[in-house]
Amino acid sequence: MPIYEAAYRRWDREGARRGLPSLAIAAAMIRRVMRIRLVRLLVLTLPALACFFSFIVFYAAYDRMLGMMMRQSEEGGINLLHLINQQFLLSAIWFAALIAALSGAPLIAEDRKARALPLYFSKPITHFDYIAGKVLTVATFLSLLLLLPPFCMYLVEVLLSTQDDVASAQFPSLLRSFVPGACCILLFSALSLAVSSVSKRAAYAALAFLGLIVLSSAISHVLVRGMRDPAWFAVSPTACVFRISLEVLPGAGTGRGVFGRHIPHLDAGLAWTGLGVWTTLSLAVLAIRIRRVEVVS
Amino acid sequence: MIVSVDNLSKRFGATVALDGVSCAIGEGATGLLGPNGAGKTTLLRILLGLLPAQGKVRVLGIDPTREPLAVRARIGYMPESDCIVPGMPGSEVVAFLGRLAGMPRRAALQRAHEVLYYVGLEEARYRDAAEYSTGMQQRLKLAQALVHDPDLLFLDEPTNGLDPKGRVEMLALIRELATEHGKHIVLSSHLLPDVEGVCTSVVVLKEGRNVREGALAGLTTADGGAYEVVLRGDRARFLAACEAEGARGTPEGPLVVRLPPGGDPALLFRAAVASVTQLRGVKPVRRTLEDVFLDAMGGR
Repeated sequence: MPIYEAAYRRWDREGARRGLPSLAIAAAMIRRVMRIRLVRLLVLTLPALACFFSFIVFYAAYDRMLGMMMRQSEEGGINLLHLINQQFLLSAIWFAALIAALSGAPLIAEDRKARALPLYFSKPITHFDYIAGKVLTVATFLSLLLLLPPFCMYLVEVLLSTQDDVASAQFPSLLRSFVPGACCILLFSALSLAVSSVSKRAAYAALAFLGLIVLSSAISHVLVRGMRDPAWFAVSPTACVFRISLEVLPGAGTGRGVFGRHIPHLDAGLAWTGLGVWTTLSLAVLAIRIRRVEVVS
Repeated sequence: MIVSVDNLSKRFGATVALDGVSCAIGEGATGLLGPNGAGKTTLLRILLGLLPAQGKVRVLGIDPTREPLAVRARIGYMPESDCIVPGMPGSEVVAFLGRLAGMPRRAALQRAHEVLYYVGLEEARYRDAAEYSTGMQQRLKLAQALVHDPDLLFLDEPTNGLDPKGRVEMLALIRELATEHGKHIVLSSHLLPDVEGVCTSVVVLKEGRNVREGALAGLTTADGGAYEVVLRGDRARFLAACEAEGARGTPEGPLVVRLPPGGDPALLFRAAVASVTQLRGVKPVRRTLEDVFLDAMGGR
């Protein structure tokens, strides 16, 4: 017995509103991306692994961390939360790139392949709503990896600390810990979607995005070594994020990572500029492509 | 008027898509006719506020170039191309597009199921929409156009790729929406029987220009002085009598007599008396939409 009648019924427009279409787009796209098994696996396991990592650092590696802290405190102070977040970011950024490639690359490429844009834009939404919805989708997945773990680490520190005022004392550090992650989220979301908008095949878009990240890092390395000028690190968006993390997380050590000992010598202003240029270019490409593709389709 | 267009022009680079089109579309179902490349889809996209253009346009009293979102909230659009929001079951696609049209989540989901039942996709609504056949995708596109219960529907080639049965069912649905549910419909098509079966008026475009416009009944009125005659008796004698009166008839097949310019149909009766034959039936020959279309295209 069907629940609904076959006859056409009018909608009484109860509850009709002009909400935020970008939120509706993001919610639908998150469900769509979560149907990709690998994304589901990464999204569910990586934050858990990150939290486990922070727990291990506090317990199993506490002595070692303490030794490092002692050495670094002689050099000018240490912040344990900054240190852990810095170390975490160094490795998590590559997983974040992978998640951005998996979640962001299909979002526009598959819409283009399925010629879905006329369906979207025949509804009362703007190009901004569409792009914001897609950016929000990738940003949600990246937040699980880059913002949730710092928050968990903060909670672990608060719970394990013997000091009474640690929650309020470390709260500014928590906010600072979000900054590099937020920069990374904005950059990767915009870049992965910009690449997605120029291809109809999600796999090509994902490979192109990862290629851009790896290639720009490799090129920046070669240029820094060749020109003997750390300013060339600004060519790589990931190097810019690392440098920014050193800037906003003082007392986190040198945070060398894959960029070696020269990365702290990159001017922080240049790092912000590099990041801004990459993000702005990506958003501009995205906006131009969506407008063009929508008109053509 | 539901839609009024005044001196509308649109260029894509060197290509002129619309060249000073002016037309008025009233209530009910209107056919937008024209060969491929005539500018039908471009006109619909301008009416939706998706493309800027020169000229004056009003849709449901709103200027789509100034308030595209307000217009789109009241229009359901069924695009021509095979298009689908990928990676979702049919019910989710329709509910999602309902939400984009401003519906609350629960209402969108309920309406999605209702319209999917209405268009005959109740069995397939939980299947991935990408797996739908062409006919099912056409129905899904109609469902998403209906989900927010719009006042006006733009249907761009709705019977594309449908088998004969599917085509008849789709046209019946569209006809029902226009006649029983009070929807205003603009049906863009190059298939004349589709338009003839559903619409009460037409706008014919050719190379970006409006070449015919009006009520279908008016455009297909009696073909100036041609009558189909059912005769009992000697056909040759009757034709000879008609020729004596200045009229000409067809010697074979259905007997059609064309009167001289300004001729009185009473001459048929005079010819019958003169030729000692009986007229069993006389009715004016009506022009078909195909005749109107071919005239508009310059084919006759």
